[in-house]
Amino acid sequence: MGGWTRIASVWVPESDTEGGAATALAVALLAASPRVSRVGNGLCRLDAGGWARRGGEEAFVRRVRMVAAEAGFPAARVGLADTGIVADAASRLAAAEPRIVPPGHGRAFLASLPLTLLPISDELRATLHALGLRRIGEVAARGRNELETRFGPEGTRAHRWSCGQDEDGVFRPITSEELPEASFELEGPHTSLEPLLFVLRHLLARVCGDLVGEGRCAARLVLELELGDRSRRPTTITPARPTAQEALLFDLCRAALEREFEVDCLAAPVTTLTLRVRERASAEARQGDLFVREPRDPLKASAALVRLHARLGDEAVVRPAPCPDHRPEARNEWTPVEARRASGGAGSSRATSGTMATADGGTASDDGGAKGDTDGDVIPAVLRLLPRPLPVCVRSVEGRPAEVWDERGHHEVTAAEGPERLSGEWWKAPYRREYFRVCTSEGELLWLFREGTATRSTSTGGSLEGERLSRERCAESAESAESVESAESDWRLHGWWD
Amino acid sequence: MRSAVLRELERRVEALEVQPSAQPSQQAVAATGIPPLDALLPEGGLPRGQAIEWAGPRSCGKTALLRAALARLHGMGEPVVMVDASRTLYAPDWTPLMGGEPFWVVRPPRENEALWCADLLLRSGAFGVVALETDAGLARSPVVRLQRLAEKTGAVFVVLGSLPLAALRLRFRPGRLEPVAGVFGPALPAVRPVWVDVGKGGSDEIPILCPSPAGRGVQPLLRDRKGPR
Repeated sequence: MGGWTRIASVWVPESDTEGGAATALAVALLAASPRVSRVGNGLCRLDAGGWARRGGEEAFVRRVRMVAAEAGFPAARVGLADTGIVADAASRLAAAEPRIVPPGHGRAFLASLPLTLLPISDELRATLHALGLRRIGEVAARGRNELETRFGPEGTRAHRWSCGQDEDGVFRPITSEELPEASFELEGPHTSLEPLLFVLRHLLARVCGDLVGEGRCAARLVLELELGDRSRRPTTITPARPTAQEALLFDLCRAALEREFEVDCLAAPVTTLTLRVRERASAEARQGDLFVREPRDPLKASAALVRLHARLGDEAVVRPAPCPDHRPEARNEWTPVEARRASGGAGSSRATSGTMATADGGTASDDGGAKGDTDGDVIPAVLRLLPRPLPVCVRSVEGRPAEVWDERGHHEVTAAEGPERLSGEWWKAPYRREYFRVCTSEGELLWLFREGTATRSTSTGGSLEGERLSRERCAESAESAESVESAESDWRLHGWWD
Repeated sequence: MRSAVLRELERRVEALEVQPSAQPSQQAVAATGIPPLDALLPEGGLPRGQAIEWAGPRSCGKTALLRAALARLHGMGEPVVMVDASRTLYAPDWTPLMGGEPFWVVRPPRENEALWCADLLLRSGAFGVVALETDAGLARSPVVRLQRLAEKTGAVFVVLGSLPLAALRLRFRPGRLEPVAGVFGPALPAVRPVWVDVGKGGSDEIPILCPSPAGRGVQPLLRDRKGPR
């Protein structure tokens, strides 16, 4: 009996099962069965397969009634049969006691029942009545072709139902591995995220409950959306470490759903939500400490990372990975953090290469500052590099900057070091720069460079128009426009030390 | 026998109660590892669960000191995350924080998402230190929310910029820099002073290395092809 498909129907006769109440009942039923489908008209179908090996179907039905009563539906009626259509009829017949139709007896069970229990249109029901067909068995006794010829597809459907057969398989058979899974078929297609999150929480409660019961954790899950156009959108969710924590997995699944909705733009509304465990792992026990609070959980870091990725893109969370290049902007390389590695450990191999872990200007290159701590030594300065060098006006004396005008105003240079010439990449994007480290009278440490005229418009994206605008801005901030006019405008501010 | 075991257990519990915890996350404050700064800070470190203002003008040395403090906390086993909304951090300067516990830099594409990032990171409870760097002025209500999250998770929450309210305000300003005589004119000294002001805690001067000590080029990582062999 356990190998047969068994379906339970729960019917609430009151009319208050529409809308939110019906949804509340359906999600509550997830506590009794991993797969729930809403049929409408107060009916929900549950996968009841395999209960013959787990205490019997009577126990299952008792559990369903108990769950429904706890959800506020004590009058819920339960029927159980091989197919959904027979279970639906059984549930509507069941009064105080649930009705369980034995396997293989669905057609015989329906034969004596009135046509009102078939979900056919009133018009067809009236026509069948007029033809003298009052019982379901009488419709089943007619030939299928006869009904199809007379009533078209509706007649075929009515004949199939009267024989106790469903249109499609309501629930797919569970795989032999029996990995925990839960699915929920929504009553209507949904285009918004909130109802899915509501259902997702209950699906996770079910799956995590199963995992905890087995003493296992989920190493990989698949969240699958079935859309209105029958297409499926599976998303694999891999926590940084196997876990059965419901809240954590909810964060990961929610991030995946948000990404589906906001980034990937679903082609059709969602009709079914399924959560499957694809890979399990043994639960790891961590040695706690009686006197120490809960340590920082790397899984929570992973969940935060997934949400950041979902909203801001994969490039938003990075680790430093400087690139061996002469140009500072090319060396300022950041590598995205992968979700799987978010829980700790070293970053990219490039980032950890010893000689690369240095700062421009030699402040943290091969001295003690490279360790990042002070160790009693002087703290190295840190460079702030502008994403794009800013055009500035500079008055130079003997080729060395003496005054600087930028958007913040006029700065007098009290000390300058340089030039340090940098050139190269003549084969693709040639550049030729002279860098100066200057200190202004306000104590600012700026990093300026003067660009060679041959490469000015290519390597830094500058242009004559940009220089004109820069000169105008500098003039606005300066007290004397004449002094700005005499300044050179082929200078750029590349950053400052802070 | 049983009473002896109980006495021994009581003794051990008492020892643990009076002994400060070895776990950095258990302490009420997080020492920065910068002695002059720790001497100014109340209880000798950055308070956990509070919003800390870490402000100053350009080139005042605030980022250098913050990096030194973050590196020290990271070395103590604290997961560190920094929200770089202005996208001006320079990767080679931050590689020393790699390895061991996670060190992330969050660079939101739009600056107005920095607060959301900080909210999410603090709420996760996975980080011991969350540093937020943004040029945008912060309103009072989001700062209150972030402070509550920091309090709930016991994280050190530092904002590189001005805050409308903060439990601790650290203001930095550049000290007077005395140029030295160079070959071509006035040059930068090896060290420059930075003043830090901690409200009632007083103020002090902290030395910071100037960029480019003599003889080092723009590109210390790569050999100068035109230089002497």
